Amino acid sequence: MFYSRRKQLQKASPTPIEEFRAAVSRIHALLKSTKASYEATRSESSKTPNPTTGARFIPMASAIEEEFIELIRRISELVVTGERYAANHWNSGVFEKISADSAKKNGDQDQQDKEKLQNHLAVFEYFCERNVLGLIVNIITGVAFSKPMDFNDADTVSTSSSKLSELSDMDENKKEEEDEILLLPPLSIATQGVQSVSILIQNVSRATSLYFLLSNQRINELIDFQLDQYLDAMRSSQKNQTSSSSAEMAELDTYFITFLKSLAMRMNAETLQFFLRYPDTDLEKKNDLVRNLEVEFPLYARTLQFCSPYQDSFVRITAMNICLNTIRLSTVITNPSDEENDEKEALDHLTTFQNEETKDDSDNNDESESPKENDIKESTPDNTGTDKENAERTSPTQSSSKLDKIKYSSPDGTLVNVDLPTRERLAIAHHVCTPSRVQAFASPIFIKLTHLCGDLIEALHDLNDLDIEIGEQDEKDNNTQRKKITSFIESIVADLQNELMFLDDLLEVCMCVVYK
Amino acid sequence: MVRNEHSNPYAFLFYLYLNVFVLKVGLTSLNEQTVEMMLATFIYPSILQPLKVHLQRHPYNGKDECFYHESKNIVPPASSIESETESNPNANEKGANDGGTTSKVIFPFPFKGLSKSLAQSGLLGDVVVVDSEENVEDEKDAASPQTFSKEHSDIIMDNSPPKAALIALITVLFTLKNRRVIYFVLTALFHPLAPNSSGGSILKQKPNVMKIENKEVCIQVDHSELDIGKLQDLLTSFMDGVGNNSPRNDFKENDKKQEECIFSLSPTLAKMLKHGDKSKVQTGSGLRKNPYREALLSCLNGNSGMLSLRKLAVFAVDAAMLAIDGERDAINTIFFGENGVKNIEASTGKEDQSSLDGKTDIFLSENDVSVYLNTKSIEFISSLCSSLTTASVCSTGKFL
Repeated sequence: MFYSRRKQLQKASPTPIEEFRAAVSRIHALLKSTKASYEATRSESSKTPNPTTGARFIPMASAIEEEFIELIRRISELVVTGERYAANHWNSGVFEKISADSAKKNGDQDQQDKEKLQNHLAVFEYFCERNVLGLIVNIITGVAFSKPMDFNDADTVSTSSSKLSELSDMDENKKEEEDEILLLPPLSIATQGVQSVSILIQNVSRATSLYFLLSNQRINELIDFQLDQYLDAMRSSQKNQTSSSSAEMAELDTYFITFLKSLAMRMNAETLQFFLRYPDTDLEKKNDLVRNLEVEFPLYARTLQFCSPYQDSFVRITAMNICLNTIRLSTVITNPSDEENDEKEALDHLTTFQNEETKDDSDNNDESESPKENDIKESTPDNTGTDKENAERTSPTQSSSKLDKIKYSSPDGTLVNVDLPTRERLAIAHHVCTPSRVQAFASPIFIKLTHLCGDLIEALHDLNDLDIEIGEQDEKDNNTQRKKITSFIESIVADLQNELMFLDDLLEVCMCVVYK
Repeated sequence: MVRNEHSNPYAFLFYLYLNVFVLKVGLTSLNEQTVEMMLATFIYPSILQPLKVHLQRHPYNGKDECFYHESKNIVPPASSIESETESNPNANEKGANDGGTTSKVIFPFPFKGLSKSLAQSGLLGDVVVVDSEENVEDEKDAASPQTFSKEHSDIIMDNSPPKAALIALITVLFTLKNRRVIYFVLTALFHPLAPNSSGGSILKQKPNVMKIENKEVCIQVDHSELDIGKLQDLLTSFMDGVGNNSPRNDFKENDKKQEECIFSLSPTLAKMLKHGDKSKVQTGSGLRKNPYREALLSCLNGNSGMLSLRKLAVFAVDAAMLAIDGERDAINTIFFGENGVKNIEASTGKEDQSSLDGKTDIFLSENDVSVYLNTKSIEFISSLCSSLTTASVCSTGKFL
């Protein structure tokens, strides 16, 4: 009885790959219907003059909006769960074991495990095959709504990156003839999209999976995407007056900088090729070291834009953190020396101590346990960069040699361990030391310091005025006012200290200010 | 990553370890540019200039009429020793100074005034009764705290900008740990000489991130823990513009599209730190007497109506001493100019000898540059003494 019930449940619940396919198909269908309804509305109201340029939100019912959000969230969840499950079993050799033993034993359990593993593997394969990452990025950037796309049955129509690029090329000629309105999704969908991409980048376990994600051109498009387009859309839709819209915009900024940070945390010797663009150099100049230092660094350039003193405090701190981590890549010492040997001994000691402490905990954990969906690190501002913690948790019994292995192995999000070849280090150092970039990075600190000094002068002036007016006002009011001004001065001085700590961090290329 | 350290104490320890042993370095080129930017956009305009302007505009200096209309009974001093115009050939005849105001900078410690001030404060041992003739001379030489009351000065003058500047300075000195910045800030404020605000040399160079050591290319990095000697060694290449082993020279004409760093203040300050020697520092070579130092010492001394700033000035000097850990070489170089202590010792010996002879004239000719550095040492110490002797003990047991 119980067995049959369980069978029924298993039959009723779709496998991850089925669910994933259904989700992707549904997104395509929603895109198609949304676009069609917009076209219909547009043709009806064609008599009235509408703006033909700029960015606008595409009209969308709230139910569809919610469905969009849930689908994007579920897609990223399925991909990460499947990828990590597959990675864990692949690394531990379970896959081979199942394949070898299944013929002999032919047990139900083994067969189920094998099917489950294949299902999970199929999810990521399907994700790559259908370029779902490109689809999500296209939704965020509005390309999916603005450009005509083939939204037929997802199973029969190929929407791979090559196909998409072909379509976009074909439409380029038409685009010039048509108006140039960029249709953007509602902010909540964009926010979920950015968060999902961050989750994907942060959580994939296998190096090959990460390489696939980072090599996708759509990631660069998302890095370069200007969020001001959403501000324009808000202005055109006359929603900018509401405070909720500005809050949503701030949320999008927050998740976007988190996305940039998730990328930055994945930089190491192997993945740096995806972040740096080397200009075309002649064969004669290939050996010219100085010339080869000229590189483009889109991630750094984009991050610098968020270092402005007028940005939200969290966004600014995160942006500076990314910049400092990037600069630090060039200053980490590579050549082993006596000093480093001492450091290594200290590191060994620290690791041994850590291993002893965590041994008990690790014994209780089942290493072959599949990752639960709840284990996925959400791309929220509170837990970015938890890869380091995860890496240390999953390898509690490793020795210092294992740590060295981590140092040179696939990206694990632990930037402190990253060690680059000299040429790349020089290229990064040369790039970040360009005067205009130094100015973009450092000048916001001094602007903020100057503003704080101005505030301090005003506060002290008010305090002086209070001294002069003493006797004219009620003493009680005077004291209250004095306390208020004094506390304000204290807060200004605290802000001054914070900014100076930023400066100190910049000069020492490390990020300590958050701890202080 | 950052928040993670809080949740995992081992990861936090690991981070601290790396932070302490590995990561306390910065790119030299980045730091040079940042320090120059800091000096030009924050230190000089927001900290040093308000101090100087406050001193210049004060009624005691008798040049800015707008401060007198409310208290016409205040008689400004008729004249004073205008050392700025003597030393700075760039100053125009109308008395326009580098701060952009129309007033002339008054040397706050003219030697006669200072000696009398010291005598009055009792530092020289005997209680001196100042007669009426001396009072007349005092008014001619410089204003002193005895001639003007606090009410007249501080109520008229808005002292919020210099107060804010001093608070910001104290915060800078207490917060920043990078020695290069600390030395440059202290040199800008306390060194007897200062860079000319105009007409100084400008150094243009391409950002240099690498150096060649033992035939190997490596990245130029700064270690934050520098003493003054190491910094002086580092400054050699910085002052010359081109490092000895720098591949910067490999750039050719067709590399013009590359951006250049422009340094104006840092090279001069580096020169002052490196060659504080009297033989190499001349007031005509892009340097002038430091008006910011004079302003701060006025605050310390409490004269020229800057009594209300004394407390903050004492804190600032305390923060400065703590920032350099009382390093003797740094004090000699920054606060007294090079060989400052030797000059003091020499003059002290002279003082002792002259005291035995019954003569109290311990000051030498003002025109001599060496004597200038010498007297600068004395005025700094005497200002500290003055602030100490006039301090009062508050209920908490601390001096105010």
